[in-house]
Amino acid sequence: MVQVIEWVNPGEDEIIWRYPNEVIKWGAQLIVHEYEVAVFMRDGKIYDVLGPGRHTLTTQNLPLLYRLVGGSNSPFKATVIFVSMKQFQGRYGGETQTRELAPVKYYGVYWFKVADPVLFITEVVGGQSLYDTADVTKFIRAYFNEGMMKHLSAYSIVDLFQNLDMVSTQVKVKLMEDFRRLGLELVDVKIEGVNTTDEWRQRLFWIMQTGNAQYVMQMDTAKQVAAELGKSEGAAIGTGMVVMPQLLQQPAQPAQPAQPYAGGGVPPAGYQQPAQPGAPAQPAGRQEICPYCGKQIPPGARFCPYCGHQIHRCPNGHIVPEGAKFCPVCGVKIE
Amino acid sequence: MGKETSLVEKLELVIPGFHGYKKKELIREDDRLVRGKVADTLALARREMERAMQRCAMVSCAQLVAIDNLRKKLMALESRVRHAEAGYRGYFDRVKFKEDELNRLLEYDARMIELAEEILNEVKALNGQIANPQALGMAVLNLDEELVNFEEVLGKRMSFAAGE
Repeated sequence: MVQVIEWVNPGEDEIIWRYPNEVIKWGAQLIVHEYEVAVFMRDGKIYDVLGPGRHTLTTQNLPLLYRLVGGSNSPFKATVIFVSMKQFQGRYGGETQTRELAPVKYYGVYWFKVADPVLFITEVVGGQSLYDTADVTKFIRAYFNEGMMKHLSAYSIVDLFQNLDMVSTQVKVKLMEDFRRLGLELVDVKIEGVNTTDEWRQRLFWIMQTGNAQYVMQMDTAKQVAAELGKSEGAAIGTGMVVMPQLLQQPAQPAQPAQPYAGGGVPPAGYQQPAQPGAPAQPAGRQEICPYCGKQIPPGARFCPYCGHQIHRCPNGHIVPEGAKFCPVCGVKIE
Repeated sequence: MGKETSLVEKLELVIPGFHGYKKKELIREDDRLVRGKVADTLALARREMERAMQRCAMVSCAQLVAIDNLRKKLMALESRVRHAEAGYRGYFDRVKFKEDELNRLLEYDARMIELAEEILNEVKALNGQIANPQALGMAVLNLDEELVNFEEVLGKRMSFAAGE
């Protein structure tokens, strides 16, 4: 009776499957499908990687010979390991900080395939019988997190949302060699989502509006102090009268307005938008930035010409968040 | 290693009524080998391109995403060539595929070898222009042009193999 060796119905995420029987008869028929290869090992050594088609295996297991030499237990062990060559999908995710130290969470998917079955089996799989995408993801997680942290921390949060394709391509380039070293090929990496906390989202809105990060931070501190003072009944009024005016004082020299990086590559740390030679300087206080896409918009614009979002304003013309009851800049009530 | 036919294959080739099938099978195997060579050349070009991407990322060049898109295109072509139809027709199929047609497939394969070599040269040229943004832009466009030419020939081969 001819022994037929075939990987029947491989699971969706299964990369490696070891044929469980190690006593393979002389002349056994190995069927390899187009989407896989079979690594043939005999006596513990890799002899060949067999591509798609039907192969006749020449093991030393002739019934007469192994009964003569090994009795009931054949010493001529042969192993067939099937390796799926299709593309697999893995997931990654983690937390890091952007250039302005805003905490961001990121997650996404990556696609990979086995490039060198022998290298992958010897370097990663070892003696395991089954290896799937979850195992690869676990194995490679640290490389992803390191790559993501390095690249995301070079961007401002606004710029990050505008350059997701560039970030993912740079991470991919960085990880390609790590994957190749393991006998894998990284086909693609995509970032599915980047998110920050509500507190930081609000803070960034005001930094973009006022162009003064120091003032926004000062207001944050004032709010926190006010909240703490409110807890102490006796000392609240007196201390508040002394501390609050100082906290609410405008800083002497306002910082440069926050500018999103517009270049194609990785923005260098501490990037400052260079002044355009020959371009007329913007009058102070006239520059407005769309809170949704971060691009500069004409003064008084009702819609952003870049992203199309409606720009909400108070009666005095200051940009206010959607649904606000009072203007946070001049305090006027919004109808 | 040699490509000579085995004793059983020689017997198959002389059996009346069977030798035709065997000859066609051997041409299909030749076609598969040639396609394998084309796909290997494209794989070499892809690896060269990945090297170009790494160098591009080092100097933060603006064409990184464009080069990556070409790499994906190259990967798709490599897979399509490797697993392309080999001109197999069953006995009852309306469109027959004889030896002449199989030899035409080999002619397409030979043309694809030339184009694959040209693609490899273009990728090498692109790799040499990473530090020169203007020349790099032109190299990207030239490579795109070569890939389109290749895709066209492959498309014609696919249509021919499908009996169109």
